[in-house]
Amino acid sequence: VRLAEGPGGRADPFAEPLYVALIDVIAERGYEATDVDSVARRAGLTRDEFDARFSGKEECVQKAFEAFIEDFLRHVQRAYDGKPGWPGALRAAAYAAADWMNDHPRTARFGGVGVLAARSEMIRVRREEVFQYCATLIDAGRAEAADPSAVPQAAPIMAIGAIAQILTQRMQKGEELETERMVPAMMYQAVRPYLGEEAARQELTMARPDRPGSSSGGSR
Amino acid sequence: MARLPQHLAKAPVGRERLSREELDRHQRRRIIEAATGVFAKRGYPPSTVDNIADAAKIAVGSFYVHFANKEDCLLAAYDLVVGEARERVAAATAAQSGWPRQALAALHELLVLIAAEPLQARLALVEIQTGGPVALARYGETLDLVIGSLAGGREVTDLDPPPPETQEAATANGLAWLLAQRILRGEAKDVSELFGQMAEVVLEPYLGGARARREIAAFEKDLVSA
Repeated sequence: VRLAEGPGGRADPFAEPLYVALIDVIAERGYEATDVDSVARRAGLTRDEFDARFSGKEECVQKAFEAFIEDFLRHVQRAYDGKPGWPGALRAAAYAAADWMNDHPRTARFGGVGVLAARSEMIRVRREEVFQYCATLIDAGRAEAADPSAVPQAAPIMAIGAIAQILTQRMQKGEELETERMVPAMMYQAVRPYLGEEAARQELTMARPDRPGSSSGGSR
Repeated sequence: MARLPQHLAKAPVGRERLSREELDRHQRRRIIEAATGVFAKRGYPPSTVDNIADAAKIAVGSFYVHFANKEDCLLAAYDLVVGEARERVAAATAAQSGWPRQALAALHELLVLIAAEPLQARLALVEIQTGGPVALARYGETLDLVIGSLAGGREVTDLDPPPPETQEAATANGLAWLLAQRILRGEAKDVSELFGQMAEVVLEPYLGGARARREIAAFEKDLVSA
């Protein structure tokens, strides 16, 4: 399961000072009040240096968003691939996503709600595609279901959508995300349509898997 | 020239005298309807008061007679759309008895409304979430109403144990997400096709799969015969 490659992604988005500066300024002032001069200044660059890399704020936002999607999904996919079997792989991926958001709260808010204020419809579509990708990790459970055809087609989107909505609201309100605490309830909703109530209940009390090494970029 | 008595004089067509209050109310409504279209088509963030004034065919100054700013207008539009939707859903559920039938009627009416009014649906499910903290709180209040209605399923469930306490929030948020996604893709007119799947997701946690499917089949049969 892979998300299609977006334009402009970089191997390590946290190494790009303009992306980091952009996210910091948006976190402090909001999207509308963020201007190119402030971003360049925060990154320790001149306006000309900014202009040499991006046509304007929107392009910088779009490329930063793509870069962070790539980084986020690389961590999630690595966790998913590293654990054989479903729902174990899904559980590992869910904790990897939660950890990434805990480690990079500003970046998570940028990707979760900051970009919603952008004028680009493409950003919204790409944001949806990230959740759609997560839904495909959930829907891998269809192969494990006793009767795959009996699982509603909407089940994976409903499960990921519930998390997406709750996270979006917490981000907009500036509340703590508490992503790790959300994982068992998300796993219950994700597993239930495929494996039934008993298997889903076990998710509510299951200890989290050991956490691998921290993701890249420190705490932003 | 002889003049007709006052009571026989022909009133100018469409020029009945409206009170200042009625004119204001009419203009406010016209602005809200225009703004709904602007927000839904352009997206809320890039929309401007100028765009709304153009669409409503009013001067920008007239906009500010009714609204403090763009956000104020968004909230008014949201309240209008949600208020009308709630009335329609309440009317649809009033004719049903028992939580499962009421939940199905509410869901069905909601999907019919979304298909019939895609711009209003986009405003209420997508654009409102980009309108800032106050707009989001308003949206959260609507979701809380849905969560409260879903909790009625706990009174009819005979499943042991009952669903976890996060069930209603998960269902309400999941439904909202799924609908928003379809609307964003420009598929609002086709959401009625989702009824069967969504109905099962709503009922199944409380009734179990077999009973949920029986309820849905009976409801759909009644719809056809109605």
